[in-house]
Amino acid sequence: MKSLVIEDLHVEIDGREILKGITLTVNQGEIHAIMGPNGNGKSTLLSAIMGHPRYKVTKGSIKFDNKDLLEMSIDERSRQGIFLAMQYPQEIPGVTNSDFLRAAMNARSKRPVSLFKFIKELETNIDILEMKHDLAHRFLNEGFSGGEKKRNEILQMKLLKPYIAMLDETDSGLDVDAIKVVAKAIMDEHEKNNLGLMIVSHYERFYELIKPTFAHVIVDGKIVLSGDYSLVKKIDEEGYDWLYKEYNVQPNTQLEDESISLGIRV
Amino acid sequence: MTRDIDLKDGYQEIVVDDINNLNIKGRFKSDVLIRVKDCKELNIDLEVFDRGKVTLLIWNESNIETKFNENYNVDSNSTLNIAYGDLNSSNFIRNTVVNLNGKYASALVKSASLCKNKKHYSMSVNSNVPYTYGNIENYSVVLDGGNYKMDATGLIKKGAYKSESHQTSRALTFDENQVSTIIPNLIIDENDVMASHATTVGRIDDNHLVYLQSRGLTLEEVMILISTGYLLPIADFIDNEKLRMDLIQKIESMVSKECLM
Repeated sequence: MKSLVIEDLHVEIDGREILKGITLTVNQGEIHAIMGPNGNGKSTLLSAIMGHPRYKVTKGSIKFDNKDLLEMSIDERSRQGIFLAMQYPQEIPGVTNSDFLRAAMNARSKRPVSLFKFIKELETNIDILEMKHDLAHRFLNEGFSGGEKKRNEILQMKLLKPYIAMLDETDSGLDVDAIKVVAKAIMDEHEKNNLGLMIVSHYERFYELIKPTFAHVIVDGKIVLSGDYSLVKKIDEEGYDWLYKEYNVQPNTQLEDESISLGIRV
Repeated sequence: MTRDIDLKDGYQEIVVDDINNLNIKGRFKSDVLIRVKDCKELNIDLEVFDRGKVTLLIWNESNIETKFNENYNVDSNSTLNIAYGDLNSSNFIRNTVVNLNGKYASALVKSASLCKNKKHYSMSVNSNVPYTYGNIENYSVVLDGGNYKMDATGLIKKGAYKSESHQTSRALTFDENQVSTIIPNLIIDENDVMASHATTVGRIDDNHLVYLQSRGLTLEEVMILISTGYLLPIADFIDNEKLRMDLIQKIESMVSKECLM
């Protein structure tokens, strides 16, 4: 079993400290809900783990399978088995979805994946995610609806078969029926391949389908409370105010609704 | 040395090594691959006659500096398509002039350039009479040490009403140590016409790099994927399956080779 171990993680963007000491262990096969008010560090945590160059780790460590992820580039981390389903997937003109997916599969395989195997896996997963078949041959995410982009992120996850997948608001942009389809596809991967998950979402409805075993609340760059699925339900019903009072913390409102470039919100 | 060629109907291949002048006549529907091997200077004169349709893929394999001078004359109701595959690693200067001389003549000129050296183009598609259509599309990936220049002109002469002139030129750069210059010109001397141009010169978007790398692709693999996608549009208009697949394969192979060097 592989583990992602984060200790006392401090992260800056443009000289501004966003994460102020995160400690968390995610084992393969576990599902962790990452919650918290907007602008308090959830997406920053996922991006820092993935190795986004804009995020500067100033203190602490991230290890996966006892290897130092901070020593690795973003593509090396991916090939180690870490995956980030992005909140705002990029549109890449000129590169078809299928060419990209095959190249990405080949990047983590000793031998090139045969065309037959690739097409079979692609078609199977497109069906599971109830995607349009022509999306495979269109340019990567270009002209995709918000929901199609999110399904495409999960399609990539299923084809690349990571050990730990981080989903950054994958449910946003999905309608009620699509959420069920995507959640089922994620859970299939979790059950069949012992996939570990870190999931950022604001909605209990998504968590209800995914059933996280652990839940953590990040406020002002720190995990202030961890618990089980009951914590997700409590926050859904009561919001965060009780937590601010009980744990004497204040959300970082300075970053509220502030989007940085590179398609990732802190 | 001069070679006179009367194009036949269908596919044919012309290999150019020590030939300096090609005089070509196109009367039919012809798909032609011109492979340019080591050649210091190449002059092409091509005439497309009434109702002819000629598609040229000029694939540059020259290992020495080459100067191209190309003149194309397109008669009424005829079509000329030119695709330049300039992915070789030697310098060149290319001057291309297309004259649309008859009503309903059309020309589409596309170039794909992988540039690690000096590649200078001057292209002009001239609408000389009414009801003509000209379009220039250029795609270039400029790598470290590249010096790319595209001077593209769409000309609509006085009296060439109801004509169209369009052009798109895009240069994608990966490194700072390169020079990319695009000069788009539209010279319009008639009122009742349609004309457009689009030009971009810029570095690959960092967000795109991060996104693709986050799926396990190295920087070199990302460069290959993006560059190939960027240059492949020149294959779009080639109807002949053999010629089209040949071109796609050549582009993929050359991009892999150059980006990994």
